[in-house]
Amino acid sequence: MSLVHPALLFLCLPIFLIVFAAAGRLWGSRGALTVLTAASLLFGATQGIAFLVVIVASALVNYALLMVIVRSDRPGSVRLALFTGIAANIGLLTLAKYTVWLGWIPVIGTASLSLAALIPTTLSFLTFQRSVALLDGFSARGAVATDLQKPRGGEALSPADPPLRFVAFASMFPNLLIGPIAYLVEIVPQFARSSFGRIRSIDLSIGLTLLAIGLVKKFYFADIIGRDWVDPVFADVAAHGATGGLRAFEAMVAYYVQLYFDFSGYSDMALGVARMIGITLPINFDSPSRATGIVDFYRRWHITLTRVIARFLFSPLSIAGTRYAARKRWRGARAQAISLWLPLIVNFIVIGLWHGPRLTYVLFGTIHGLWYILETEVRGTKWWKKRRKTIAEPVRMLSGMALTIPLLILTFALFRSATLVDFGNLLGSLGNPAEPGIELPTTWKFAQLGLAYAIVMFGPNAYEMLGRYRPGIRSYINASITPRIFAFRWRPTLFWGLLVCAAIAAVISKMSAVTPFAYQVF
Amino acid sequence: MIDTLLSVVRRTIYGAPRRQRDGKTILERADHGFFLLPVMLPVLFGIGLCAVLMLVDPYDLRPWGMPPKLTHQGYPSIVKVNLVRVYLNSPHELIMLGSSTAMPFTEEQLNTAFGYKTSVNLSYEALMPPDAGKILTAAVETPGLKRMVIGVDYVQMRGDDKMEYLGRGAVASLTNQWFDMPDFTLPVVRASLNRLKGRDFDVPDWRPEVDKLYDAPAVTTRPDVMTILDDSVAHPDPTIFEPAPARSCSSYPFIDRVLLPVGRAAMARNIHIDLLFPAVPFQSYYNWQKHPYSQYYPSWGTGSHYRQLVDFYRCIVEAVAANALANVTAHALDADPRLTQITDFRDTIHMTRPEALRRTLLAVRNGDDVVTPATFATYRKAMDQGVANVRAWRWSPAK
Repeated sequence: MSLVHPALLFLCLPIFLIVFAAAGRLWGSRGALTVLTAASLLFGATQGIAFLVVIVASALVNYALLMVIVRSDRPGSVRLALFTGIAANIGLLTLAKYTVWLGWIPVIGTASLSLAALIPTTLSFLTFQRSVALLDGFSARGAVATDLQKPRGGEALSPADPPLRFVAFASMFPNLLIGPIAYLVEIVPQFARSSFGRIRSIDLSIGLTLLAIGLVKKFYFADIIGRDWVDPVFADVAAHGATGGLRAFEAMVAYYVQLYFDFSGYSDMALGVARMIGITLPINFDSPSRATGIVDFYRRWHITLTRVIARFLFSPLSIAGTRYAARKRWRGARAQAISLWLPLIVNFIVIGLWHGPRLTYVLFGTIHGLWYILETEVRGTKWWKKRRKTIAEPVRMLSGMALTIPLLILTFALFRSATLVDFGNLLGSLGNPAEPGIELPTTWKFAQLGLAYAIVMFGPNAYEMLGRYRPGIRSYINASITPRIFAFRWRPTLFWGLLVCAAIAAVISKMSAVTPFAYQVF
Repeated sequence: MIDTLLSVVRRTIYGAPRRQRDGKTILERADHGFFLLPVMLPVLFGIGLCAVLMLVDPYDLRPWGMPPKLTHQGYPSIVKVNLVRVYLNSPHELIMLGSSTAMPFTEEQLNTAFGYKTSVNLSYEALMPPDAGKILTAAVETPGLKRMVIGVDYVQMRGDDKMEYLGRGAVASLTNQWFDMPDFTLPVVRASLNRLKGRDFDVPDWRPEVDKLYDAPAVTTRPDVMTILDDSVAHPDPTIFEPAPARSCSSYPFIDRVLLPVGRAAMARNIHIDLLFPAVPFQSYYNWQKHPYSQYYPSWGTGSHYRQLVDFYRCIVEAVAANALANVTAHALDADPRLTQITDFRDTIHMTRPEALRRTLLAVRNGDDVVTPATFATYRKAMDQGVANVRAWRWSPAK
């Protein structure tokens, strides 16, 4: 079950909200949190009993280790607990996800195969969230200990609070499967707020709006674009090694926008459902198609993964590299290579590998890493710093977008291809004539794709529209470049209510066919 | 006036700050705080749909729900594939499964021909080997099943794992969980409401779509199609009689992954299987050769298409004999001149005239066209002669 299932939206979610509010009223925040935890575990059970067992066991192990990290006075124990926790999480993820690469190892290969068969759902997001919680505990011990234990105003301290809050955080159903990956210090303090456990009409309004936006993105853009433009072409290339030139081009152009609508749609829904119970999750997408370069792109695309990898992988590597270069008195390119370039390449290869055991992901990450290095270096040159002052802001922005989007389209086509051969065949097909017997898309379908691009390029994103109500936690502040005419601002008024009503009504007609989210397999 | 209107619009969509006199009129007061009222309408509607479906459970996806009460008049394919689990969980004596060439046979025709009371035709467009395998494997377990009739046409020659939309739906109907809701559509909810009232699970909207299948006029009344057919026969593609490239029998997943396992499982349960090689007007082979339609034909090699089809049938007949599947009978209806008259077809391939359909089922029941390894050469010769001797229909409006 995922957030697009009608059974979840129209049956389980209303029941959950009623029980949550009733528990909050009767037993306070602890009651509400208990209901949230129970609902999350039930949601986990719909992915299979094995999934439920794994997430509960992993949550308990992570909680025990987190307690050691935040309470132990011995630095050795703290480090050991941190290392054990991260190794256990990454080990579990590796076993479940990288079966293709582990299959040859006698015992591990068999275990990996069994685990992958038992748990077809992705564990990537939840294991990262739990690992980051341990790192949060390590880097901010005092704050985490306080957050886990701090009683709500007027309530007494309870030993049940820390485990309950941690399990609720680690298993919260809106972002359990496909993120956004939240920090413990972002979520747990919200459980201790005096308003937690109440359903407020403003939260419900914001939540329903985000949910409706996400549903429209999924059913009216991602699914249609995937069905009409992307999936048949990539399947043809995989099966026959070639397709018509125009179809190959269209599929490449369409995939980038399909993936955006699919994944950002899920993120919007997750933020919306969490907001209904007063929880604000971090924003995951911030109009990435308006990025003026790869550096800007990663401040806008899958933000919660970028920030985790940057914080816990890139920064330590870069600091260690800088210290090493300083110790060796290296300067220039050699110092830059060890303090910036190498950490960046590792950072992006890990981002690529995080998606799964495929060479195309590794190459995707490597290309983005090299592109990032090149752009950083160019932007750091005196020539560029002098030059940028002479170019008008809109011209610089538009030319940046014009350079960035085609390259993103190309690299995301590599990301979508199952093998490097498939990607080569797709590129090779670009010069082919049209295939006989295959109908070309109609004008209406072209208009749909055009509309999709127009929305991602010029439309306001959900978080801009709802900006004054803080719909999500911002990790990076990106300047809004939405044209003024499209800079709509949402308010909980009748007009916006009618728009959301129309969106939900339109989506209901599409909900009988639920297709999995692209990121459900990563 | 216009300024005021523009100001209201601007404030509504751009959220300009509220002015001092905002909220004075009734409309303005009503506007604030009335967001949830319209939003709750579709939400409540969705809850209502969900509640009806959870109560009735029309596709038998949940441990609860009402017992099925299906109409005998048939369902549109999109509904029928979702009902596969319902049909297979209820007692049936005969189950028919094939692609579009097998769809027009009605339950009544099947019951009359074979003397059963509970027959069902589960055929749908573009049944492919992967979905055929899964459905037939489950069908063998159907309580009270005595006979299975399997339509085997050129689509089963495919060598890949592709499933079409309906096939995916049919397979999903076997594996769906309680929270999957392919039934979340307005017609299904209306049919479920009828079921709640004690009537059949049915809505009038489905009838025209189903009847279209049985009432279609003969292809000979369609000048556009007949012109193409006549041209294909009068000016044939020269490759129609070229030897077909050799293709190994093991390259057909239908035989190894569908026919043999299902045949063995059926034999263990004393279920008889009839394989139908559907009748097609001989003119159509010329049309296939001249105008290959790519969607369902990825298995065609170079050379004569109809000969490739006959070779596929030979592999089937030999596999049945080699595996001693005494409960499986192959019926080569495509060489029977009584069944290949173009006037019985609604288009170049689909027989729809009720009389012809009844004749076909009688031929199956009587074993008129049974083909075995021993008689296969005769069948091949009949096919070669049929194709070679066919003449253009010379369609004209007066005819």
